[in-house]
Amino acid sequence: MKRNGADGAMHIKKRIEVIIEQPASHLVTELLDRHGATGYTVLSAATGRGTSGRWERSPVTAARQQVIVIAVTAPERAPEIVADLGTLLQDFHGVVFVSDVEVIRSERF
Amino acid sequence: MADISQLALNNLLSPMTLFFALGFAAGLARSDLTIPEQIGKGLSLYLMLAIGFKGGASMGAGGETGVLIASLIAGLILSAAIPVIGFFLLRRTSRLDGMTAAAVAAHYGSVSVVTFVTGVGFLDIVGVPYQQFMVAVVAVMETPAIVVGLALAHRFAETPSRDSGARTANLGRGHLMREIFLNGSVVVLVGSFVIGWITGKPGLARIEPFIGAPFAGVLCLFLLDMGLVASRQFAATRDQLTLPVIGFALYMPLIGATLGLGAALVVGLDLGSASMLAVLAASASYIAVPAAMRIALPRANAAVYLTLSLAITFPFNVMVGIPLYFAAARALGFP
Repeated sequence: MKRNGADGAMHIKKRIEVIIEQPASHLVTELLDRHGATGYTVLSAATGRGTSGRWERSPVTAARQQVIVIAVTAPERAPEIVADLGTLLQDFHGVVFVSDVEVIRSERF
Repeated sequence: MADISQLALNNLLSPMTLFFALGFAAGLARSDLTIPEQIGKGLSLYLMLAIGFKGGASMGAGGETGVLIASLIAGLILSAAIPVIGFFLLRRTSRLDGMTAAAVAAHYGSVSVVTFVTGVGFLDIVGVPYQQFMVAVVAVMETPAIVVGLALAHRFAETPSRDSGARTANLGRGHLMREIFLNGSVVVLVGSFVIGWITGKPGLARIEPFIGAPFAGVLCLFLLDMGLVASRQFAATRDQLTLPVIGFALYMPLIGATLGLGAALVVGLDLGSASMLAVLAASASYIAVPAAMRIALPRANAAVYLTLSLAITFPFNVMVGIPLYFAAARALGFP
């Protein structure tokens, strides 16, 4: 009996990556939840530089730290998510990347 | 004058100040010295626990209640008033936009728990006690400044905070409230205070080996880390600061300390407690308030308020302010 993905079929999805200030990261995850994203992963960023200057992880305050939120979603869902993320980025420092990605087990995204 | 010089020297040559200076110098020299982040957070939790527990355990039954309540009220008033003064000073003397000025002002109305802990270390060096309930004053001074800062931004900012606030308000309010009232440092500090109060002297005796002798050494290591963090913050963003704004970070603590000593006179505090109230009023938050401001006033320039509070005011208070406020309190005749 074949299992899902066992035939090696790959499916095109949209990978949305958001680099955002840590205090605002919950706004991104809640936005993804509202749009029905089936999941996401949040990574801590070490250091970097942007229009607001250099930043790095600090044990003192989260105010200048950045995280990376990665979500994979169906292509038809991506434009609305990205539009709302764009609105969010009017207030918070961050960037959004959207790329095509291939996945197995299409039903999970 | 000689007495003040001696106090300043005692402070500058104390292990805590020297380790802070070492960290600051290492950061400016771009040393790769790093205290692992989780260790830094662990040190912070330890210091909050130790200060809070000792404060609560030392609370006697009755007697101090009137002074305690008066001190709490004084702290609330200071926390609400200082942002107003700071905001209008910034607007008059600098070109900071209204929203950033309000965010900066909120930082200076709130408190730095680490500065408080460093002040406690200084009082230990000079052998002056203080009322342990001052820990509770730390807790009540955290929040009013944030509320006042937001009100100032809403009322006076050129781009009203309600524009961006409306976009994120419903989503951010819960997290903002959690950031303000349930910030980790405050939870440990207040929680330890309550536990110390409940368990009293017997509880203190049981964990004294953990929170007693090691305290000074842990504070040294933590201030080493703080020096690194402060210098790196300064180096990363100093180009964004103008002289009037940097000047604010140096004179606003003096104004705060003066108000703190005035409040201490009204309340009738002793020398150590009056000094600590001055230290609290002179300090600026850089733990809870920056994160709260990023949520509540996202268009305020975080580089400005974080650099002022962490990289200028904090070092100033550690190296110069604390002994200065103590000397002033002694000159005013606090018992």
